[in-house]
Amino acid sequence: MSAIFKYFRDLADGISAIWNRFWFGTREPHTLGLIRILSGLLALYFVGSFTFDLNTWFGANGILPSETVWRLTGESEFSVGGADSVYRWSYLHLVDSPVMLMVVHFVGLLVLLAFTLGLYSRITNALSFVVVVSYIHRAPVIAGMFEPVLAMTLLYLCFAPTGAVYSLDGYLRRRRGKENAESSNNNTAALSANIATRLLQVHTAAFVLMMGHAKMTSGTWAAGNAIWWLIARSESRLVDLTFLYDSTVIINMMTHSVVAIEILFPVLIWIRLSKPLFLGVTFVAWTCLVLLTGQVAFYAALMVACLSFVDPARIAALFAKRSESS
Amino acid sequence: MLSESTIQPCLVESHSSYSTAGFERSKLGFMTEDSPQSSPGQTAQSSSAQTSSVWLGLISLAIIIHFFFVFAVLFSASDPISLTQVRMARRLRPYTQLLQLNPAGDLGGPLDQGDLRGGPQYSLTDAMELDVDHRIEILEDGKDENLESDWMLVASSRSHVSERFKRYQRLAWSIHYLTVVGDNDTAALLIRGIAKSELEAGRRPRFIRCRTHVLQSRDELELGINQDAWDSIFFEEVYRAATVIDQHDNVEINKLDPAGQVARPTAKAGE
Repeated sequence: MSAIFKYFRDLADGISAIWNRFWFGTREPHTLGLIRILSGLLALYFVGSFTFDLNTWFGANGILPSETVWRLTGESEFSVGGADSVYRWSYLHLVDSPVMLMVVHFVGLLVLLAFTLGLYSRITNALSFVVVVSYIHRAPVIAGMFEPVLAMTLLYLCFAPTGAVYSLDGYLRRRRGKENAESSNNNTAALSANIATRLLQVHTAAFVLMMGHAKMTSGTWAAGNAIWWLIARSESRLVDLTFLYDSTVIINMMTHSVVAIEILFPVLIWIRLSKPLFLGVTFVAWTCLVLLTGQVAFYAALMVACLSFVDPARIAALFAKRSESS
Repeated sequence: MLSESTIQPCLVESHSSYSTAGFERSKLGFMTEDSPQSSPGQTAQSSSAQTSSVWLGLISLAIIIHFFFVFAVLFSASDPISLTQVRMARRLRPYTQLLQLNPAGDLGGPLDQGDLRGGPQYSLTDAMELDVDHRIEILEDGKDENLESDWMLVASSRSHVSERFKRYQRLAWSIHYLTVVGDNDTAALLIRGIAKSELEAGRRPRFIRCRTHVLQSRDELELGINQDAWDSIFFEEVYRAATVIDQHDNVEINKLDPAGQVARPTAKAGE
């Protein structure tokens, strides 16, 4: 009996030790700084791409006035709390005149620009999440796979000191003389950076597993033909690979490889030796899928989220090398 | 408010429990390269360590609950899913929708629609009816509906790679989806929105249609027939509506059946 008790005590101790080491260490914010810049650029692209269509989508005489969106999502202004309530919030529901839409839109773009540059990054990070999610929630009918990945990345960055490096915040701090350049570069490790990185890593790994699971349970992926059905979509594809029509082996191999990579990703990405290789293989596979599906923004957002698996020291060394060479 | 300095002392505790458990760092090799960088050699006062361990416990609990919610919605985003998953995804909405954690869009409860799902498809393709490219086309007043070149692709000037163009593809997909699940009234609502936005842009649409771009067949390519993917035989009309625009620019949508007959009025301005 005591042996069983001892086993479970050791098991609990072991799990809590691994848990604490995984979540509650400190980490340099260089990787998150880079992710901030890249996800900021993606957010600017996402929101900026509405600039010339604001009135077309969101105007009172547009395609998706608020009433239409509420009808589509089964929501009404006063439905919160019911069994089928929808909890999508968006400040864009409050405006529908062309002028006000444009004003609100450009304020949003300014927030995203400040976040990308790392200006008042703690505040602009949270506001960037609000801006991006407001656009997603305002028109869920036209949201694709890209938006959830972008929102996820911005959400987790809110917990991190993303403006500590590669930012205007850092530059201004140094100029004001509150910190000297050396200390700001060498002593920035933070618990919050580690927690934010871990949140992003775990969520990204689960997301990729979900993608693999969706493919694995689909008959056409299991049959090895799915890549052909992507090749055969004439409008979406970026390259025409229809000359592969009689290459069953290649199509089957490509199909099964994509599924295998996405299923194995959540396992192999945590193993020290396989991580760099597997990140490379995954990026190559997704680049191929970009060419076949035209889903540039979605896979770009996924790759940015996957950067969270890169060691901050490598990012810092890369930037240091670049600044030396320039 | 929890500050980082409050929590730091607990790192000592966590590392000491880590060593008493009989684990060695090297035995956790699969986690080591990416491990946090804090040094366990810090000294801390026991009272602050106790306080911060409470905070760590609370943070741990929050992380566990958060990821329970995240996993629940992530794995209800693709078929097949159980009834329990459907119910759970619905119950977790207050949290997952507020933070936009649910990767599956839902058009008024698609979870009840069997195999059809009104949101992004992470399998990319299931080679089903809806897994094709969609497009919306309009025919302006005075143009010939039998002349293909008179039909205008909505958003045709935008790059096909851009999100701007893909939004119109998704809108066309949604119209097709709503038609397949039998919700013609909501589909007509979207068509009316398109008609109104075209009016705003200075065009008066007479007809609006949604077409799919049929996939190229391997068998046909092998036989050397139907090799041009842009031939008209590769386009299939899945929805057509006639628009009636009165002098006050109010728009009425009449869905047409495949034979070109008016089915019934499905959406009126001001409804």
